Amino acid sequence: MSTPPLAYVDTNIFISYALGEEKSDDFQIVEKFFEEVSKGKYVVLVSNFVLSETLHALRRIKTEEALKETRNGVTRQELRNIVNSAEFRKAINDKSYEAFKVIIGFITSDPDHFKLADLKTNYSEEMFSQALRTLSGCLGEFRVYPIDCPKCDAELDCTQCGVDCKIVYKSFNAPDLTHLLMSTSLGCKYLFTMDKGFSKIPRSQSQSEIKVLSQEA
Amino acid sequence: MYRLLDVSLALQNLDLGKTASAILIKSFSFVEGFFGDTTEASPSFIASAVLENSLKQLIPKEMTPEVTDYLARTALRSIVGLSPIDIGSRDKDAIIKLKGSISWLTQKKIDVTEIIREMREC
Repeated sequence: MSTPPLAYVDTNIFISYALGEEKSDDFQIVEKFFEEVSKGKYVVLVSNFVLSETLHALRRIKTEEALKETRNGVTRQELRNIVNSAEFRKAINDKSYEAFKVIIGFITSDPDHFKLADLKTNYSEEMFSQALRTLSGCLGEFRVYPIDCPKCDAELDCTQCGVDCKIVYKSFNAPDLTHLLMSTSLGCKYLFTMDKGFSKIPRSQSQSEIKVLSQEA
Repeated sequence: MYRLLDVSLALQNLDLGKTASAILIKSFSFVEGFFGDTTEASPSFIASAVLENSLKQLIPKEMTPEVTDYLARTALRSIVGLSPIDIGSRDKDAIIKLKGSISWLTQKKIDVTEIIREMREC
């Protein structure tokens, strides 16, 4: 029996799966992927770059939730006092780090489904030069989004100028290309992600085939 | 003062031979002695660094793919303070256990893809 192909798995997939059905909008999409992994269709390649993003994302999730849990009308100074307190830092770190440990615990105890990137792998500056050439050759899109309240998600408008939206430049970016080029360096046949922005990356830029998971797929 | 992770289980499992094991033990003893009187250093970070540096000194014939993978897993576990596991242990259900394992982290349903997207664009 041949060895299943290596699949580089993006950070969004790991976190959605670990959060589960009740807490992740995208859980059902990633659940199908992990079922295929458990049946031996792929072996998941876990890079330290993805794990670093995972830890950072878990800390951001807890931090953003902290604001939503504050009382309505909380002042800027009150928020500063909260975030500067040792208790706040400890609470955010303890929860997010505990979640990270849970993920690491499962990944490292299942070598049949999860393969860690070889610690001796070196990445060349040429890789980033290639990323720069790719970014230089592509211009993304410009979109207009409403400005949302970070606490209650209501749409806001400025009391001075009346603007209620922002212009955003949307494109794949240096971290995206780094993931893609790393997946090639690590010998992965596929890169799986849920970020549709990856589908805009020219196919010629990587030997790893990009697979964007979605409801339609 | 802190203690580094006990690496004896990892060394037993590796069965690397006297030279490689001696290198690892010497490296850990040195680091423990060096940082033993401080509370500032991160034990997991140091343990990981020692493992990675020791990797480079191991005898090539002892570095089979299985040993390389095991060391990578042990190094990763040490970063977060998890103890080494047996080289032969395989929890085939871990992929199922991972599903929803951190649901307690947040109260509400969230758009993970969007959070990661925003993070990368900051």
